[in-house]
Amino acid sequence: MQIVRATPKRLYVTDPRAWAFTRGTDYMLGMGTTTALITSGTAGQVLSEFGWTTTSLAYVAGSGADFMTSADKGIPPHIILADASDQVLSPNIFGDWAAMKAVGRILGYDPTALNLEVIAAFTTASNNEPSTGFGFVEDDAAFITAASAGQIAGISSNGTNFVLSNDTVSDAGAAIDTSWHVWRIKVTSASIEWFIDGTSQGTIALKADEWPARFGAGVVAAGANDLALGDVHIWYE
Amino acid sequence: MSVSNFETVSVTGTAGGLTAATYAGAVKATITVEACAIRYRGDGTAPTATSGHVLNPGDVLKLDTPDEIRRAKFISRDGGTASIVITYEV
Repeated sequence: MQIVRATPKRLYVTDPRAWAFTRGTDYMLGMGTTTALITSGTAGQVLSEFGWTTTSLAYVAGSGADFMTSADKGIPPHIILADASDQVLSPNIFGDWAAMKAVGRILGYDPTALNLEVIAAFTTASNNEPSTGFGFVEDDAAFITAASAGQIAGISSNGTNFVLSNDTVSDAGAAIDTSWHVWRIKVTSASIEWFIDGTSQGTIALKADEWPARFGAGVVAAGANDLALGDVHIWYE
Repeated sequence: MSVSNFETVSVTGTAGGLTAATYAGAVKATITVEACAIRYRGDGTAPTATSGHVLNPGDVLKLDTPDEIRRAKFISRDGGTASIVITYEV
């Protein structure tokens, strides 16, 4: 048996300002390099000028990690979403038919899965706040709308466990903690599955009529949970 | 070696194999994947959406023995319907 791999055809959109006007297979929001675009910046260089919604957010530089190991992650570079109504919202560009066809022209075939991977920590997670967290947000909606009303698939805390939910379904996963994790949401036509550090936590059903989606993160009004948001990667496969 | 037969098989969310009547007598098979990603197992056990070698559209799987052809099983990875196009040789 032998597998001969086709040459990968992927296009990385590494500047988040370009998310709004560039089609790609992979979209990157790198906190180590782009945070100035989120928190401040000169005219023409701020994400809010490129289809993003951002509130005033504090940036924390990375520190204290061991060399390229998960054994001691240190503090990854991140932005802090801690004040009530803090939020970051990308342009609405993911997962609809038009996006599928555009990405299909790059890949050479229509994609069948949309993934979101986030490095993040819930630095306070002890409160039941389904609208404090991150994930895929309905077209032109906000993550922080009460009771997950704007979410297609959002990761949050119910005060005891981490949860993947929207306003109609919910799936409880691992017990809450305040550690850094790699969080992943994978959307297919069959379901929305979520992972913490590579371990599947379960699935929820898709919502219809809500695409294209946007990436969103934030803290609900009067929220008390806190989120440290590191690098974000969204990709089709 | 000479080409003995050819077929196109749909790969869905239910695992399946190649067509016995079509590959009868073949000793080699060249398989290309179209439309969407699938998973493959060569030990006769059905793959699942999360277990098995991933084959993306454009990838080529070469099976070199009658036993490999008989044991090959495929399933769609993400729930779509893929096609595998197979040329058999004797």
